[in-house]
Amino acid sequence: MTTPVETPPREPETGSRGMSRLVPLGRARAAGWALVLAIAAVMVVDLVTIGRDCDALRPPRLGEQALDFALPVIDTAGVVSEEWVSLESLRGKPVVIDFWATWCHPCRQTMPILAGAVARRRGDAILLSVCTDGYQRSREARRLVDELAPGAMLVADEGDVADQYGVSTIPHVVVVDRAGRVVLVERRVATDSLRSTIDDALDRASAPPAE
Amino acid sequence: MAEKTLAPNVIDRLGAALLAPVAALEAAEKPTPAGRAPGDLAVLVLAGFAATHLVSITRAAWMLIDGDGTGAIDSLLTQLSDAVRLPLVFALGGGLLVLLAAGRRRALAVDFDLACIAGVPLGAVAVLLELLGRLGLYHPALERAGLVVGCVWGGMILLLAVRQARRREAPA
Repeated sequence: MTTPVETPPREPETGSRGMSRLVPLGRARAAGWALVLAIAAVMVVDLVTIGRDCDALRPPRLGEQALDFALPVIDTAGVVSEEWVSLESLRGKPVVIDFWATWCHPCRQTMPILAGAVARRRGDAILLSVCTDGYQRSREARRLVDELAPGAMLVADEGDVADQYGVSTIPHVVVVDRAGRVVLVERRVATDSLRSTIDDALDRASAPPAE
Repeated sequence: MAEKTLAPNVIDRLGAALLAPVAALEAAEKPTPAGRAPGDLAVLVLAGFAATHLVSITRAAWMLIDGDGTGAIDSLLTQLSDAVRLPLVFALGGGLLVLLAAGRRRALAVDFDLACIAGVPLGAVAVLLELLGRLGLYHPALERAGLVVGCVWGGMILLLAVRQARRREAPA
């Protein structure tokens, strides 16, 4: 007598590689390819931008003309105003550009030093305080500048200008001379030597432009 | 006639995570292609980073050429960490949630895989927002809305992942 062998229920179609459930392949594949196309499209747009003027992406170096930019002023009430200031509009005076953010504690140590160096020039230099989170925290930025660097011109940046200047860490200080040339790029600011470094740079920046 | 099954290549798996998450989650439990989800998410985030940060990469290359290698690396690492932070936190936090919600049915590696599938919409929405920005349609409100959509979308997949994990056979 033979015992009937029970046949196990057949597994659903599994495909050769272990997918347990039938999936609307077309829909998933289309979504996947749409994602790939979106990534490729972004890449193409950026490649075209880069291809047009790759040199424009080079952060300014010593002796070169500083890249011009325009940023909105954070007014005395701590509001990002409609008034914009450009680097070009400051031409004729040495400009100390201080890239910082409200959350950056080392930046709070450098701000009074920069403000002091500029104040010693008695109006013949400008401290341009570029707050990289100024759009989000304009009131806090205004409060800190009023406290630590009164007299500085405070502007808000969303990071675009900081990117142009190759800012990777803050504080990051750039000094531009009367003719708009870069005379100092201080990436990793050493607070103890900053005062003399800035004074030296401002001396060079204050020299009349060569004919 | 049997419908075609989902071929397990990275593009199909990412697409399934977006539009057929139940199937993608179930597949992640199987011996093959188990363990692929973290790699798929990493591919999406890194490819998205490379595509959307070409300008920054070019700037870093210039810095390198100009002799500021440290600055170039700093700059790239800062931006990379910004790009991976949200999907990584979502995947790790989601994995922990699935693990805890699964109770006795927990399976550490698989639960983390499931959470990585839930992280795919965040990466996809980030790429889409970048594309819209390149097309001149950037608006801060749109960016915030995109972030919310990505989190809600991923959150719903995370709930499906919890349900999936709780359906496993409990260990004896």
